[in-house]
Amino acid sequence: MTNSNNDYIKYISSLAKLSLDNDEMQSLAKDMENIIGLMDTIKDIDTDNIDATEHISHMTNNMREDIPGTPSDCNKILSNSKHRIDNCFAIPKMID
Amino acid sequence: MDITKLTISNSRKLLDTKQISAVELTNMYLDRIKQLDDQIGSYLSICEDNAILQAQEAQKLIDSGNSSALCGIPLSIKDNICIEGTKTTCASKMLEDFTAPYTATAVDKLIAHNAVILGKTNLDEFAMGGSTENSAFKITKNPFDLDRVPGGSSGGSAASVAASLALGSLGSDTGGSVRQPASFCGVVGMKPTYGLVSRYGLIAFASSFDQIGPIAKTVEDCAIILDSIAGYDSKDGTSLSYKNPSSYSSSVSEDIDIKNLKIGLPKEYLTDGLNSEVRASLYNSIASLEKLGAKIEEFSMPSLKYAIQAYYLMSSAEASSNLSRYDGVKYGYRADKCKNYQDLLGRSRAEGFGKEVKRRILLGTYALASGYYDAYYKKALKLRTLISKGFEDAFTKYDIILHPTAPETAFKLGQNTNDPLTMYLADIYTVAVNIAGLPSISVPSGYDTNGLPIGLSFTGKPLGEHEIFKAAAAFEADFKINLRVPAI
Repeated sequence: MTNSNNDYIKYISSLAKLSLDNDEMQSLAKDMENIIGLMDTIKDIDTDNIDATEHISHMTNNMREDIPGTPSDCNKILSNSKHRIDNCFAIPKMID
Repeated sequence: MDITKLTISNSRKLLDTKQISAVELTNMYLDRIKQLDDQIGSYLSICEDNAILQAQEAQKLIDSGNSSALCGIPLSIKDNICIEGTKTTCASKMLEDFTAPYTATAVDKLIAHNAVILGKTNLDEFAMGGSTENSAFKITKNPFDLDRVPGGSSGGSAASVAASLALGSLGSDTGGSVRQPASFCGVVGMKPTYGLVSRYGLIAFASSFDQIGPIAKTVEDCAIILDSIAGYDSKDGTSLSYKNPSSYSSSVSEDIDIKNLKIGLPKEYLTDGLNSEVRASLYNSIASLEKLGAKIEEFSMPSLKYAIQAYYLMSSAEASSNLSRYDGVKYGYRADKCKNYQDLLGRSRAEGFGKEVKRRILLGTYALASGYYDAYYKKALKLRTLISKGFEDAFTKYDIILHPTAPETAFKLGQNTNDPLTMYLADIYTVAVNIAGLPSISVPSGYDTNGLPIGLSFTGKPLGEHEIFKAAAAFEADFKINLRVPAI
């Protein structure tokens, strides 16, 4: 990633769903260049024969009993949304 | 009564012998917060009415002779931990108006033990940072020097305890966010084994690293808080089914013998980046531990050199995933006048998150992107294996790993705000513990020439809380650094 070419930061910010303005894009591209520079120092470490540790607790499917319960109150769930219509979250149109 | 001299354990005696009531104690703290917190900025919100009600309930139990260790004890809670009906902002514009619909298990347990919750404390936005300067609402200042940072991200919690604005606090530690601010503020901070304390109700930053931990003035006080919050929780799929054989506080309240305790000191933490005064303090601390009979030896763990990179890649990848839930629809900030759903999503996130959060989301997205996944994220997961194995090997020879908590003491406000790399490298001694899911405690071990606190960390085996509490308590009792009270 280079500071002179912000195409990649545009691509990454679009994947991350962050609509950054140009100034912020420039500033974050510079930060990212330095940060990725630090991260690149691990590239040459030989880890071919090392397994990846996805999760430190090595747990799989820590299940609890399937007991029917009372669902959360609908109004409580909706109460933190700025826009609602009846019992639904309201959003602008998806398709033009 | 000098509020700055109070601890949880000595307040217990005062409450149980009726020298003070729970309501009087709570009012003392509420008054002090009103008087002094404008200078420190440790709290984001105060739960005054609830605190008084909780104190009244606690007093009834004390009067009936049914009090327990935390009954009537005023505590503060980091504002990324949910309490039903109260604002839980994560110090972010994104959650400025969010009211938690449920209570975190750790807080539920404190309330069940009749603790008094004074309020919610400031943090770096979504717990990302090492100085509490990334909060969207205010900057918290170090009680020892108001021109300096309190550390982060639990800087509000650590400052509230150091400034005697609470007797103890809950913070969260993803890469050192309990221990580093404890070190900067001259208090004790403890990060338990991953899974020992439920994460239910802790707003996620990096799920495989995040852990709630106590901050208090003494090792015993930290153990008292951990006694009440530890334990299996079916609401958290990563909670450990571990039956603690005895209370943590009992292991520090007996005569502690650390003769022949084998302690390892990693050479990789003794590089030029270690401040000379912190280094001198470390060797003074070693002399104290050796006097108590502990055997201390330097050893090498080469994988520690890559802990910072592995940590920032993995935690940022998890953050980019966890923070994808903030879409402006179900809760949180929503941008105005959006053309369509994509516009709503992109602008709400860009306007709602602060710069450090965006940096981490971008880094995490980059590390997980097609074409980069193997070189960054998968490589970091393999380094996690190496680092965990390094600790496993070390613990075949040593009972405890000793190291400085941070490479330097509290830095000036604004000193590193435009230099994210320097800020990241400040976590160099703490992140490896989170990568391996180990317990670790930071205790005050001296002051530099500016009068700023220095911290020392004891790291243990998985579920080795008893051992590190014992070693830290023995050190605390013997070292006698004459703990200073900040002059505020």
